[in-house]
Amino acid sequence: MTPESLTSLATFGMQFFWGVFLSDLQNNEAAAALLNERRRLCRLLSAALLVFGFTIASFPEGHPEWMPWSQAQKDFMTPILPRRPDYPRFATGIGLEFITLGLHFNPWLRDLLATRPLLWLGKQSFAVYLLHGPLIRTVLIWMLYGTTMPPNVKNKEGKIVPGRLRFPGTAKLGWSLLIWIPMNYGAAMLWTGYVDPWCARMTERLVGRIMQEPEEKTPATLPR
Amino acid sequence: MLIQGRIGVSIFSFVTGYVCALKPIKLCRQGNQEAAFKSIGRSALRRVPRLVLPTAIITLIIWFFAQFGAFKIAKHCDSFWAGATSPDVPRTLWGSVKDLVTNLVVTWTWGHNRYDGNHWTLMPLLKGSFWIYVFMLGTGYVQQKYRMLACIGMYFYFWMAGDGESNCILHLPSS
Repeated sequence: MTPESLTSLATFGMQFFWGVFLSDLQNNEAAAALLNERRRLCRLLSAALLVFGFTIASFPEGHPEWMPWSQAQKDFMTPILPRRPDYPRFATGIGLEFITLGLHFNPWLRDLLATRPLLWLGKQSFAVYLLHGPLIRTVLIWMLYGTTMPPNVKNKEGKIVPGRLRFPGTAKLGWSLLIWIPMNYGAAMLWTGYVDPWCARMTERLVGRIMQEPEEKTPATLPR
Repeated sequence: MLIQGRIGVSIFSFVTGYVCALKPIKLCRQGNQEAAFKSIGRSALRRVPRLVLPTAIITLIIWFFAQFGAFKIAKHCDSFWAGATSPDVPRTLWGSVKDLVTNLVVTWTWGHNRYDGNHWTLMPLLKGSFWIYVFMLGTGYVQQKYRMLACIGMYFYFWMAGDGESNCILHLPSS
């Protein structure tokens, strides 16, 4: 990724407001009536939106010209996106809009996504996000490359430079991940179970400390 | 898409918007704007420590292990990504402490953290939740269909801006 392409990430602003929109849509009577009265239509619509959404979100990170479908998608996006867009991020963002709309039109699928194992995964997601980076750079790297530092080596110009450890192959990566991924989730469980509740308690203590006493309450025009 | 993990951050943003707006929207729909505004105030007050505290704790943990050379193997392996994103350790303890404090701050000013580059998303996520609080404050008494229209307007505003929010973000390790 080049720094220029980073100037446009369709990851944030658009997605926040799409989230608000869907929040409203789910609390909209007309939309609820449609879901109840036209079930078959909604299911069809949902399937179409999901397939379409997953397809465009799958826009490749590089070389869209290798496949006709991704080239066509790029040609379609170019005139409707701002200048120098980050194509992959826009594609993912817009794809996510169709996927989430597809989920809106399919209450059955929404219930499926709200089953306990998936809710559990969702609950761990922030902790997994915070922990996965350092755990890759330490534990996973140690599993793959060992824990001994490579000896210094002489390069072509005869200079002594630090040695490089060599990647042991995808097979080892595969079985290492079989151990590492559950480990990441295990660490996330500890985080969600102990660290995050501690942060919540500290926040409540802070809030309790700085809040106005009830008798000091002034007629506020803005919410406290 | 799933392998590249690109969709993850988009989902975080989407869920942030959805969750921050859900309760106020429900309350506004019941005509209980007072309660909606109160709930927005509650969330807004807690939002900063609820995001900053865990991020600071994990940064502190990574920093601590970095002092003992936890990232040395990553620095010497042939994965460019692992080496480039692993933190260097300043030579002196004072330098290390200064580096820690700097990174704790710039996570929220530049969206940048050398101890884990992934923290670049947290400042935009924090800002975004406050955009939603303000949006809900502004539209609490607006008819729902017009709020939805305003929402689509905001959506396309960010579309045209190329999501201007991220202009200052460099998702690259510093040298």
